[in-house]
Amino acid sequence: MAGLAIALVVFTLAGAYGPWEERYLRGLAIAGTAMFVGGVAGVPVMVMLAIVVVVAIGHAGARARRPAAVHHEPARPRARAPLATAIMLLPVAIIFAASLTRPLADFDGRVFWVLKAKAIAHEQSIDGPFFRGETTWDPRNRYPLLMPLNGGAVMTIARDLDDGQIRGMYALTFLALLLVIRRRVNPWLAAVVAWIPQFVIVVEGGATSAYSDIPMAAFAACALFDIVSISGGGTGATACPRGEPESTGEGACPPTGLGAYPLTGLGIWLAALTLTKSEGLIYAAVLLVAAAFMHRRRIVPAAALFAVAAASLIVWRTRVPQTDGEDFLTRLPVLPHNLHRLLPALEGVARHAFDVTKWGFFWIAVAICIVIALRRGQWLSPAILGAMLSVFIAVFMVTAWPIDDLINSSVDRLLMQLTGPAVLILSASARSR
Amino acid sequence: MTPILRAALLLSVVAATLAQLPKAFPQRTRGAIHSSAREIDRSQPPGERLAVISNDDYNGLYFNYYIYPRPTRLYRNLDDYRLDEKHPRTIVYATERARVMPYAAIRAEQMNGFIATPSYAPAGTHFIVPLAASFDGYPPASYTTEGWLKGRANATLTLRPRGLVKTLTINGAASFKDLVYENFGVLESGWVEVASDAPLQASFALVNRGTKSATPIALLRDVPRRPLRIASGEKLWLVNTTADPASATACGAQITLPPYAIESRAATFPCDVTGAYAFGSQKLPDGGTRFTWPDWR
Repeated sequence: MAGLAIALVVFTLAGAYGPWEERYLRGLAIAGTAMFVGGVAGVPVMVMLAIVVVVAIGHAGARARRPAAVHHEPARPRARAPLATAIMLLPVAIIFAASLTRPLADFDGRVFWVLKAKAIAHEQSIDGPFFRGETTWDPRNRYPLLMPLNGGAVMTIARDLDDGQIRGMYALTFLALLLVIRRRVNPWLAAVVAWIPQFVIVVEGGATSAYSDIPMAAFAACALFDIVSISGGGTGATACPRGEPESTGEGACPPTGLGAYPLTGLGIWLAALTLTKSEGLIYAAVLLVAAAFMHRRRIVPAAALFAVAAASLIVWRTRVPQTDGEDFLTRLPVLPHNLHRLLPALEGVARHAFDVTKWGFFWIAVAICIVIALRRGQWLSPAILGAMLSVFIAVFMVTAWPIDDLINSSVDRLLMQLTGPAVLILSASARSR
Repeated sequence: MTPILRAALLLSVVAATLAQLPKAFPQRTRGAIHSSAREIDRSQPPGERLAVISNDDYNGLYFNYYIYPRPTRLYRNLDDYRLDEKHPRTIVYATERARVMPYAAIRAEQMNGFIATPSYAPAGTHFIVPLAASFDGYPPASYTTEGWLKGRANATLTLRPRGLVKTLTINGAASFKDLVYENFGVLESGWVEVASDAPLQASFALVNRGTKSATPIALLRDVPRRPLRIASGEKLWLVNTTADPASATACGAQITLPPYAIESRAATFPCDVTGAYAFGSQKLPDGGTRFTWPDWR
């Protein structure tokens, strides 16, 4: 419980402003990014966290002192769908109960992610003896460290390396994702996502695990919602003038990020994506391209943040040895020779997406709504979803693993990361042109 | 999306989740691997690095996770452990439950099934297995002596030259995947003297478990007095089966063998030997061994 409280307080404070769910996710993003970039520069991770929290508190204080007309705090959501919210919260309660009473049981969470969090808490560094391979075996040693850094910070504050300390952080991340969908897209779609078995039931990658796929889903969703809400987008989302209060429901107007630099907020999400999982670098690039297409030069602050995160990741990776795991980027040249794998890869993705025991009718509905959206000329969310999907189709095509093994072990988790574009597509299909 | 379609979508995920919910989150404890890791951590000197060998792809990693921040070095198997010149001395064998175990015990626990097929020969009440080995060489070489005894007798096995003794009651049959370790608890090479109160049938083979090759070992019931001629081999083995030092002549060289000693040396073949029992051996490219037994009958 101490870890839950620490995560709640620290990351909400670090998130500075906005509704709780976005503060929390932004807190994870800013704190993790700052600790990583600072860590690459040799600054102890907890020093960076302290700086982030102090600056965030200062920033929040400054915003609070401004006249109300100037800062664009989103309004509280209208209590329009209390039933949807109640339905949404039921599985969340189950997940919190399971996270706080049952031990962490997933493989990747323990072996890859939380081991790194423990090491960061123990060494207060991201390139210490652990990551140099001097103390123990660290599988997937070059995985990005945003969530392990945040977990390590919670463990450090709790003075306890037990994984029970960070279960609450992951459960809160899932809750925040749902609340973002509820506020910025549709409360009923938030309820749908909350009940998807892949999130609720599945041990490997679900909301009770310590995988990084739900944080990826949350950051990608926030980035996409920022892109479409600031522009009006092609998804059917309503164009929202700056400063218009946010509302829930279809066609909502989301918050506008960092005041005069709304796309700086986007940059925070892109940096977080880059530093959360390896595929996040490419997802962030896809989202940046989409943002550039819609916002032109206004993306410069976001692009700068993304560039700093990407550069830090590249520099850090040159300092730590690769222990195992496949480097998919170096295998990309074999893509033209592996075109025969395209159909099996697509078939594998479809087989999992349309498995109703894991997804209900969610991806079936998304597939139908993509057709509707494209017929309406709403291309942005389908294009982004398609681009992100094509990243892992490409990975399946170039992998040295047996393709079915990789698909079976990863595709459901990768589909979780596409929740943001998926719910936007579902939401958009509800609207008339 | 209309309310009806939205409701259908919601129902589909709720139904799918509720159907699986009763079986979800079954694990109430972290399991034996966690508790044993904590016990081992407490029992070892602070900061001492542990070697971790696992019986599968998971348990070693889980042990590594639960025992962090204690330094460890993970090995996929005993071969990797042997290859690492800087391997930690203390070994943890991580199965469902982690245990601190000596190398030899892990080796014995991992030994499944026989490699050789028995080919029984009458062995009487007193005989010698002239080479009994239990040791691991450069990976994947891992040598054991497999043995089978058939009959009803009380038998005494003595490992020479160490002099370790094991008494067995054989009720029909007995078999050993690793004659030396199973009976004497050591990893070493020597020869074994078998004495029994009733005649036995026996079969023994030198096995390289790493390459799954097996070579029968000729049992010795009576040491010949006259000179032996070894026709071929790379290595000449000399065995003193007596309790006194033996002066032997091998390939023209004078050698003194301590009591019960077994010694090997490179030799020029064919080679004549007097004063000791002798045989030749040659390592084959497939990891097996070819013995050349003396022609003395």
